[in-house]
Amino acid sequence: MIEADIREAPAAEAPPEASSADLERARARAYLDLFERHVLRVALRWSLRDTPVTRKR
Amino acid sequence: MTAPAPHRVGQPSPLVFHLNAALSAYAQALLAAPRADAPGFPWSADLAKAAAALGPDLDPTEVAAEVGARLSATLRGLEAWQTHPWRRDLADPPEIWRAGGARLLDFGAAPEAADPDGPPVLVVPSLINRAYILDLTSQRSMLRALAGRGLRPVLLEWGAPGPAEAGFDLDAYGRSRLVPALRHLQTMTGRPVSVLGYCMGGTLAAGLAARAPYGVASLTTIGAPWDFASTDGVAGGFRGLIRAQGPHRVESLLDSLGQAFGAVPVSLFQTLFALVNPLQAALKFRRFSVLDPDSPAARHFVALEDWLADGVPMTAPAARDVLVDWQIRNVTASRRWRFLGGPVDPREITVPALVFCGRGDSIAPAPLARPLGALIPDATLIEPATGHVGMIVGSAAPAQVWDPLAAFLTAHAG
Repeated sequence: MIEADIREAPAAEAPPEASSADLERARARAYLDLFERHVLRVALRWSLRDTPVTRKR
Repeated sequence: MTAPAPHRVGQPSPLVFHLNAALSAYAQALLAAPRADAPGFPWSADLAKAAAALGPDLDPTEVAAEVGARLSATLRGLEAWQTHPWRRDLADPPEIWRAGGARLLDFGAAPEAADPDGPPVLVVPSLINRAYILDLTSQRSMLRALAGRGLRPVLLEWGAPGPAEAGFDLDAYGRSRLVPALRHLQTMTGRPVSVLGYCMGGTLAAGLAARAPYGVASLTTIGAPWDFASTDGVAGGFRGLIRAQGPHRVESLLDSLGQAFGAVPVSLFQTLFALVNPLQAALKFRRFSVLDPDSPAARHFVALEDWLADGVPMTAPAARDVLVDWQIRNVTASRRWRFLGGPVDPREITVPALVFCGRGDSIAPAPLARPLGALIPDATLIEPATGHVGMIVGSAAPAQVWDPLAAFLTAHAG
């Protein structure tokens, strides 16, 4: 019954005068933000029709 | 770790599932990081462009550090909830009827009520979760809001199944609890009664309006699943797989659970809900970790989590009806669901109906809920931009659900 409202955080961005370490950290955050959104999409929209299991049938 | 507040149930059930799901997802993220910008990486289509912009050679050390930071934040949020001092202290309105573990609570007698003799509305919640989601806090109480607009909501609280409900299937709940509650309210008020059902309570309310329409003024359903044909998403995928294998093993499992525990434990349903969205708990507790604990948003989060962790078990026959006959056999949409003496056909519902179907509902998503509105001859469909629980207590609920609901109930009062 139960879902919290799914809110997606804006992609992480590096500060304007970022060091290369800051940039790498920001890229890692942006990647994980995307990956979390990807997992939600897969969970809610994944379809058996797209899987090899059902294609064999 | 600080001890949980003494009144708190203590964990988002099943905690081990939520933590495992988060660990598994982040482990996959870590392993996949070197290929994140590759053209063949199976990103969801709408994310592919942003993924390509990440550029090559993500630093695995930074990704691992960020994974660690996110999991730590989730655990901090979890602990902050467990130790939060807030507790629900809303007093129930007067009880006006009781049968077994079920009772009727009269919100027409709540302090917020504008008219104790207003048009009666029988409110039918789910059997799986506690009914107080409809009266969560003084700020977010759909029932008190309706009472404040001159209606008289009367909540059918099913209660946990006890000796009186042993062996009850859905039809027994209908015959021995739902219909008597409706008749009691009709006799007490001397008026036709509007019926409002939430979640599977909406499906039961539709069955009531189709099979026992005497004295029913109108029907409203909120997030009520009806057509389980869809095999999309993880939940739909399970339906499809079990259909292909045959549901007998699921029926045996439910019977065994019923024999072992006296009823099907709530943790089974909570696991099924968790499967719908495996990262949900990790994400929401992480967000909670940065909220000011004294803020209204934090208190609302705690109220909602306390309710989520506070489910009720279900009798094995009722669980078989819901998980096998509805979900797998889809007896509802195929009009083979027998309830109150015959098959339920929404085309036979003659009263005006209002059907809410949340655009963000992942529990009763549009393909499951919308068909009910399409079948009822005199139905209006409203699709609020919110989720399943959000339709009842979300920030959009007052404008997108409560207001049109109150207007409909007032216009079609008996």
